[in-house]
Amino acid sequence: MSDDRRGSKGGDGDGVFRRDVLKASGAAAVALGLGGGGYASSLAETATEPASRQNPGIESYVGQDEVIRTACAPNCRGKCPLEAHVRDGRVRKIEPQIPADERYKRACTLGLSHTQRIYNATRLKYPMKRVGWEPGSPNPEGRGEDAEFERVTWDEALDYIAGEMERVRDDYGPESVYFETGSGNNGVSGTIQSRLSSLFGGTQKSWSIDINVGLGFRRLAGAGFFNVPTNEVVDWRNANTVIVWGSDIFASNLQQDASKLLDAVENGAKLVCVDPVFTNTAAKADLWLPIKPGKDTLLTLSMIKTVLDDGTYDTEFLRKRTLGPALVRDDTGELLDASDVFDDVTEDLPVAVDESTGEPVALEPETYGEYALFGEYTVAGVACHTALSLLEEHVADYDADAVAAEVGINADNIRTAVRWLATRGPGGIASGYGVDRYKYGHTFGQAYAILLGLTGDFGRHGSIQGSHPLGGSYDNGGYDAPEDGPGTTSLAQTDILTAMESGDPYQLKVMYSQESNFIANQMPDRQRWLEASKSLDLIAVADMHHTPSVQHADIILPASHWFEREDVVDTWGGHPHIMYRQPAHDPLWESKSDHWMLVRLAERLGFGDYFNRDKSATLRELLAHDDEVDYETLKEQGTVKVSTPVVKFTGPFNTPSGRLELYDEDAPTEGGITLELPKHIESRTADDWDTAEDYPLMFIQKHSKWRIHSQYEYQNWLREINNEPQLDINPKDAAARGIEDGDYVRVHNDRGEMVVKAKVNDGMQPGLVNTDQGWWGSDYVRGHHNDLTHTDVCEVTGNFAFYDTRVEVEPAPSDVDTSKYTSNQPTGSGATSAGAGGD
Amino acid sequence: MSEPAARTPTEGNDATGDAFESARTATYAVLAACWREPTERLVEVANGGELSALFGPLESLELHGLRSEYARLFIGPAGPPCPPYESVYRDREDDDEFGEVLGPATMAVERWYQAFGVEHRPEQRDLPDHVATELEFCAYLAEHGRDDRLDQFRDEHLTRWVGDLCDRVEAETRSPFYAALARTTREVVAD
Ligand code: SF4
Repeated sequence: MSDDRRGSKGGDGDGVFRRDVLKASGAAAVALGLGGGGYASSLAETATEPASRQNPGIESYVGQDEVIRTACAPNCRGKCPLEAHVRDGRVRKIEPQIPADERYKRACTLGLSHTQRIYNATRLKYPMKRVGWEPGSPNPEGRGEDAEFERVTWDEALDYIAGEMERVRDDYGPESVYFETGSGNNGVSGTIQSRLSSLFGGTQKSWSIDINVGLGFRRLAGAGFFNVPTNEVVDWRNANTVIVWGSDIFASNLQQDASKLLDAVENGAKLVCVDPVFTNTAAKADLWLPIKPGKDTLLTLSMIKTVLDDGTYDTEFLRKRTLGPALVRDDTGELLDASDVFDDVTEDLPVAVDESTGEPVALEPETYGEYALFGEYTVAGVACHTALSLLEEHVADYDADAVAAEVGINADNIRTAVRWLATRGPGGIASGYGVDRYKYGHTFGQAYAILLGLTGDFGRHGSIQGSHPLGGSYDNGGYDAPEDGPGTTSLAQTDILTAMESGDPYQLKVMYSQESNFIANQMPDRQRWLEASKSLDLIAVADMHHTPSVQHADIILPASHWFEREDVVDTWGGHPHIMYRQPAHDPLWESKSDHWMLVRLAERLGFGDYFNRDKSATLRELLAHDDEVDYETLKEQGTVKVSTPVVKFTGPFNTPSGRLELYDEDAPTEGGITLELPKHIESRTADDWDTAEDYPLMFIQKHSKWRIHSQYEYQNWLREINNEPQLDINPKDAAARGIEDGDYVRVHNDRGEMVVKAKVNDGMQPGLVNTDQGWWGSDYVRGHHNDLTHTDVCEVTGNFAFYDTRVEVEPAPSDVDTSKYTSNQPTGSGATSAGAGGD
Repeated sequence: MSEPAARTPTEGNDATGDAFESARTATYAVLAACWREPTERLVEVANGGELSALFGPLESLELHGLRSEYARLFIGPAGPPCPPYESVYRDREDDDEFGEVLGPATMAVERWYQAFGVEHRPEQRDLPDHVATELEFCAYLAEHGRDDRLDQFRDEHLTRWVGDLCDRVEAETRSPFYAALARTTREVVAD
């Protein structure tokens, strides 16, 4: 461009410029075919009277909002019913909706900021294809930060995907197609995807996250997976003591849990918080137990000992509903079997001794007897101890005074907390997902199930066993697994990784991902996942936003916002309703619902007969099998309350004995250690861990109140408060490394690094640092928090141990480029460098 | 907004382009077309030198590369660094952020369209305050001899944000074509 043209920007060149341009443009316009109104590609003349004669827009000022019912559901478990106020075809305001059971009217700052998500300029707008990707020639090295994309039509995008799925089905088998669903939506899209996967014979994942504590608890109580089922939260007000353990409810469970916990406090409950960090919840607690990372099982064992020593256990509950009185054979460590004792018993029943008669009796579920809780007995010639005696012996060394230094908590406070729980009536332990993220977190699940067994906190009003009320679900009549298809193969996420990496147990070749930001952001040892995914010939990702996983896609499918979809939302893990989403308007740009995409993909794959393009019809069909909810009523009311028991763990436990199995005779082993009773096993949190010297700090990644996992990335209202990832670090640890508040620091270990701003924070204990999880790669000055985490999992549950991570911290190198936070760039523009919105 | 004034001939109305009511119409029409996704025809015309009077001499363009650059600047998936929508620049609370799309400024623009008997085609999935559509509307006003209204629309809308957009494009783009388009647009809008 010549200088004189540049000069025309100023005043003096104007005349020249104007003449030039005006003269030139006619010919150019003709050449471009814009004559004869051909320039009007977006505007069309309206048939009606010009609105200038009709007071244009006046309705906008005096008219009324249309209020539509919808729901938030990003997997905070809140699933808050919302109302969207729509004016001039746009959502202008969000408010909580009053559901059928009005006690569940809730919403948090995130839910109320959805307008900034729907109308975000960064939304995905059109289907796109990565430049350099072609069917059969995937060029996986071109994925990632520097990938460029070009627009394609929906037909092209779906043809590519269907074509690749068919090709790899022929070459590798249908299971080589991996249908991934994350937790980003909770409408029916997961069900639709499962149906397609099942018909195709594809692979879907089962979770390797958040199942550690729940599965440990399950061994004893017969329930638990994602955390542990507990009384519906409206019942929490009946609790007299609540120990919130490894969960910052007042920051990251702002949905129902937080308000219902406050109800309990208002009602006189004592609130105890067990957390290594002085969290929002700790700040509101009557007693904070600042546990050292990874010592949760040890602390629980000492609490068990306190209850046993004090004699404050619930004798009646132990006798009636637990294996506490069951006899365990000294010779084999197995439960004494009633069929070996009584000629007339053939069932596999445990045996106890009746204290009043001294005679052995078979233990039935839910049956009270004056069984001896403690002691050694020889029955039918077999020497035995009661399970409780073994427990007592097992915890003998864990007096509160003995463990205080190791767990980092004053012994009197340990005793106070558990005495409140044992003596103040109903209550319990609201465990969160913190302890899950240590490698052996399942032993904590086992241990606290025993503690609650001792205090009798099961099956009554005010009992709390975890943080998972059942919420509402509906019977879809097996829609997700039709009988005609070959069915879906399920692989744990740990196996998805090895399947991509080395074909173990089989090779995956195509991934179709929706409502998920796993592969490039949320998985531990992220670089390993990215490397492994290079074996895939096609990664197709459907999303609303340009997540790091979208940046790693070959085909990008723009998904509509929840408020642009008609949908039915279940409330798994939340409140007991089924909810309806009425669309506020058409999806913006060319975005489409997952249902729209999946149905058209299914048609291309030859399964069109199994799907209905009409979403309403699909929803009607999904609900047709349920006894409590039907489409019409749901649409009319917005929510339908479904019946779910308020009090959990009533009746026989879902265990072989029908009792709470305080002693687990079929216990699994962990590194050769058997777990009939809970053992304190540690991984990287152990002081003598072999890299402890090089990486002396434990690194956790809390959930904050400013995002739900990796969602809510680009809302200005939230960014104003929480603009960039930071490292929370104790003042002593900071000083020892010459780090001041606000300095950029390099956090590193033998897997990777990240550069973030330091937040010197005495809410952190020495030796522990934190970066809130969910930030995207583009938010980091360098690296990513999941470049530091690892995929080393325990044998029993295979649960990812994000918090069992060691790091060292140092001042960031002086040449590090922090301009994305120091220069004046519009938030969320991703404009600081090419591809910066990605990874 | 009151009823549009009666059509008054203006200086620019001498038709310099064959099929065009006015040179102004043609200028806005060309700019609008250039702010749309690049087409084969655009590349041909540019490579034929027919845009050089507007943009100065241009290196030879290649459609594929131009489309990639267009997507990177204005569509995404990353960013985009230069969202081409008025409300993003005008309906923001702070200069260091982007506002939402479809904000009050968009509605104001739609009312202009409505007042002059045009509407944003429903099948056009882009947004009504896309820079190309606003320029198209300018062309429409010029074509219908509403130059006074064109000036008013420009003052109330384009001049309030297109400078920002063009600054961002010039800072971001790797393509001389978009740098030139930004410069020329800024000038025409300010003219
Ligand atoms: S983010 Fe969670 S708590 Fe907040 S409104 Fe949405 S569902 Fe409710």
